Amino acid sequence: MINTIYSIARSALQNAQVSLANVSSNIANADTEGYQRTTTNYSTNSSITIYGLSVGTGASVTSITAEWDSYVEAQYLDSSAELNRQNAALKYADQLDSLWDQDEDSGLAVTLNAFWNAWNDLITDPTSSSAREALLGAAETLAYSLSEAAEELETMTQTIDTEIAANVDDANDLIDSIAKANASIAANPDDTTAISERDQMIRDLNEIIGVDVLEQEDGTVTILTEEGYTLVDGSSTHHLAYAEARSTESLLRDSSYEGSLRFSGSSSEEILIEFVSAGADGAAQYKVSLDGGATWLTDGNGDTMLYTADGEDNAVTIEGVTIWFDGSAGEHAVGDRYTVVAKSGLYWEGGDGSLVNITPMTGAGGDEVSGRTTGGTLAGLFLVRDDVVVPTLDSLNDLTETLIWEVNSLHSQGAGLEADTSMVGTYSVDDSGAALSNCGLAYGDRIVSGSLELVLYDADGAVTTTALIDIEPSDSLQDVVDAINSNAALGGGLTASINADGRLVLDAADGTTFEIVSDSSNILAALGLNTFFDGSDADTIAVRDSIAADTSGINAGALGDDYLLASGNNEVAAGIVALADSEVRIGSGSSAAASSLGDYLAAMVSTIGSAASAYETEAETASVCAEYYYNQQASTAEVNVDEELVDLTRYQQAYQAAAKMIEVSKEMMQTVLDMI
Amino acid sequence: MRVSTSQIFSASLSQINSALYDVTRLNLMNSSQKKINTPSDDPAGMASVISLRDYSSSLDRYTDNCTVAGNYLSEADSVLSQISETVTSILELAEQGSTGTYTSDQLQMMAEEMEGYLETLMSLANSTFGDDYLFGGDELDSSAFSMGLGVSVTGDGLTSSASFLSVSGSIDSAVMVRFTEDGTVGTDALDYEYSLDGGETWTGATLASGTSTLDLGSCQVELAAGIAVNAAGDDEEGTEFLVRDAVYYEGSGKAMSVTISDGVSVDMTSVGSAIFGGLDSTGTAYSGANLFEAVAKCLACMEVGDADGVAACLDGISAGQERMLAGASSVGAREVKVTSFESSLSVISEVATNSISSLEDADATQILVELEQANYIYEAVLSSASDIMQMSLLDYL
Repeated sequence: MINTIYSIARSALQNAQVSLANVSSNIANADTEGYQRTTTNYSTNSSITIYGLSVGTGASVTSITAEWDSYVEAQYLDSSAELNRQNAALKYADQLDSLWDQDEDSGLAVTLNAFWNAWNDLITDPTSSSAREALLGAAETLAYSLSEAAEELETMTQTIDTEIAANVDDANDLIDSIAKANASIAANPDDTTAISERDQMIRDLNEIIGVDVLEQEDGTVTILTEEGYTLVDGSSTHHLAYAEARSTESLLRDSSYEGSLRFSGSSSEEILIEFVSAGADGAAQYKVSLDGGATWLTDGNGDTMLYTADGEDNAVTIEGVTIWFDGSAGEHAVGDRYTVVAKSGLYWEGGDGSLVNITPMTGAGGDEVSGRTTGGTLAGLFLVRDDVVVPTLDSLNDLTETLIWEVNSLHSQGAGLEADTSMVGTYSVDDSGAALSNCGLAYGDRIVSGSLELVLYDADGAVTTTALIDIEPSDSLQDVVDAINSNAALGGGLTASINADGRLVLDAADGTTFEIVSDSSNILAALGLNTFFDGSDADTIAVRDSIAADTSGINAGALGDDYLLASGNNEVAAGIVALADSEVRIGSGSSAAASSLGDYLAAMVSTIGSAASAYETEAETASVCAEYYYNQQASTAEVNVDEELVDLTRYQQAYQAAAKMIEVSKEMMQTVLDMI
Repeated sequence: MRVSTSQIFSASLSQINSALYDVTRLNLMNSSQKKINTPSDDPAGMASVISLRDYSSSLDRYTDNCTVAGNYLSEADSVLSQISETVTSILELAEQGSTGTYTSDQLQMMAEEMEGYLETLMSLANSTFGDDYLFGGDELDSSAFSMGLGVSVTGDGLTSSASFLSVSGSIDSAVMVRFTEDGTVGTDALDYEYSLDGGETWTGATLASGTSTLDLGSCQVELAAGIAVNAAGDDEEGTEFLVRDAVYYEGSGKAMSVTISDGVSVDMTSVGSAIFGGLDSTGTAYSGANLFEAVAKCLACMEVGDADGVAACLDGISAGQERMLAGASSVGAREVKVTSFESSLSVISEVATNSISSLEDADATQILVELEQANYIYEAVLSSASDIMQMSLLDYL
């Protein structure tokens, strides 16, 4: 019997030691992130019968369990993924927000107004050289501001891309680690430390890409993305991939097409094309969707827009991406589909080596397309890149393209302070034999059928002759050169040629000078002759070299009815200043707008502000939710040092009591021995 | 509800952060005195502010143009009033000379005074504002009028000024020219004579056949080939004309216009030929009332002692004066237009500035009060957080 007491006391002592060790471990881990506090569970041992009585045999520690609420955890994972998505987007939206702030002293709106003001000074004093120098300064500042803004946006896009790649790598590492943890937990289901480490890794993975967790019976977990793609299943894994622009095809079985789709350019939209009529290249037509097939692009009347599939010569440009087919044989069937993802995207690696596109996508109404990633940092980064940063860059480029075109088309019909002996274009053609509308000119599609009028002067500045050259958009540059050189009125006083870079050159004969009278075909602005700006988007905008070198080349006025420039003529300057308030066509395709340049810029800034403000509000809401669930989980699972100190005291006393029991049984034994 | 130790610390931290964020935000608004510091503060408001600033900037441009145009027009206005005084003097002198009570010597002395008036008129019409000529249309750099030679037909025969192709050279005073035999210019050899002293002495010359330029000593007159001429005597029948001073208009036919408001522009300079007349570059007189031509004709008649000729010019000078006054009132009307636009622009500009301010500026008093409150809250949070963080069971064990 004494032995029973002795063994009970001994096991009580051991139990107390285990409990004390557990408490110490909890206290030491009070600040460890993701640590799940453990509690020891006692159960009473079975009783034995002594002297006809049932006597208990003490207690033993049956298990050490971690306190963890998996239901609260699932809710926390959802809101944490949402919070991380909003925070990731907010980080960059905030940067854009501060960069694009327009106050009264600085910003693009101010430099644009300074540019109009400088032209306005030329209205009242067209020949003033100081006003011209001031205009040159204002124009160079404007060009610099626009290209700086574009560069910042491009750098931001690259930074986002780098962060996406790093996050994808981190996610893949976590996926592998979770799989390993699964394997070791399957081998040892009671390893609470391993389980809490795995749970922490799941939280980390969830922050990157929102996940759902399914617990299996053997203690392992299956991790799926919120859209249902398996990432970890036991110890097998599927990785995420961050891939460059690509196109995929899904042809029907009875489609006999053997060629492939080619594309160039980039866009923040995913372009889905589906064939609506069968046929070979040049005949078959297709419709286009930008939201995965939910809605199809329509023209102004509401009818679905159809494009003809054709070779490179008749390539179609949709949303900034040029698409053509290089098929040799075969015909498309109705229902053949292609997806052109002209941007880097997020993919899920299926087991067979295929890549499934899970890049976040926003539909036309602003809601998310199903089947694509919606939670986590990755979703936020893609969304801010594709819905805010890249569209802002596109809008900036559209704005600059229109600014350059409108100023140039007015300026090219004016005359500078001195008549010219030669003019060189600033834009080059790729093929001088191809039609001007399709030969590589940035503004080639703006040439219309019209005529160019030139005037020649002799050495004293008197008018010798005028000539009219007819231009059609289907003419090639070589045709224009030939028309000028064979023009009877010019009679060799002016010769045209194409230089080695593919630019048009006009040369006057010795002793002759010339000027532009008018141009109703837009060819001068398209080829870059007599223009003010060079370049065609925000990266390339610059003041023409010839004007930067000599401001007398700035055309403030135009030739009068007598083909001479009056010193007070300010038509071009007045026209350019009027641009500030007039509505122009900016952009093309689904983002075309008719508005003044200043209002377009205001709308851009407002869009950035709304996006930043929306992300901020959503982040705050998500933060409240996430914090609530975090606190719920924390109150179950985290260590309260005071509580552990109470337990410490308790188990210490239990230890002391157990030690006392041993002392008592020892004395009892001694008493018995003393009796002998 | 159970609270873990790290929850206590992280909750305190987040509360401190959020109170501090409020303080910082209000400080920023206080230092910039603006409600909208970034577009996300008020996206629609920011767009309105940018548009209003663009509008305000275009109003400033219009105002600048108004100021410049107003300066040019008021200078033209004061020049025209000086011109008006000169024309009144011319009329008085011409009336005197037309009475027929003066001898030709006296008329020639009056002619010198008239010549002075004509030169004054021309130099006033060539007035500048800075370096820009006011009456040359949009030719600002070169003078609007210059002195040259013209022709007045006094006898029968040549009636159209298209008969005279060009006049070159210089004269001291009007030259009388008449043909002394009939014939056709360019075909026949023709005798003619000219007088440099008002008809007292005549110099004879012959126009060779096949030529059509008359040599008059210091000047030459080219006639159109194929016109018929008749002999003239002292009875004023036959082909007879005067070569005299004339004022040529060198400017352009279009005034320089500047935009002073949306879709509204005003002519900043004036087309001199529409106000003062004169001859165009081909030597043809401008149609309608022509002040310079009337005065020049009158001068020539005085120089040759022709009082009846002077009387015939009076109507022309009066008509020219009326046209000049109409031009002056057009300048005045433009000045009034510019002034009224300028004042309405300044009113609109102020309204725009106020609109911008109401959208953008923060209420200073409200911000200060909110800032005080945020500071107080922040201090309270700091104090309570530090109390909680220090409490621990260890103090009591």
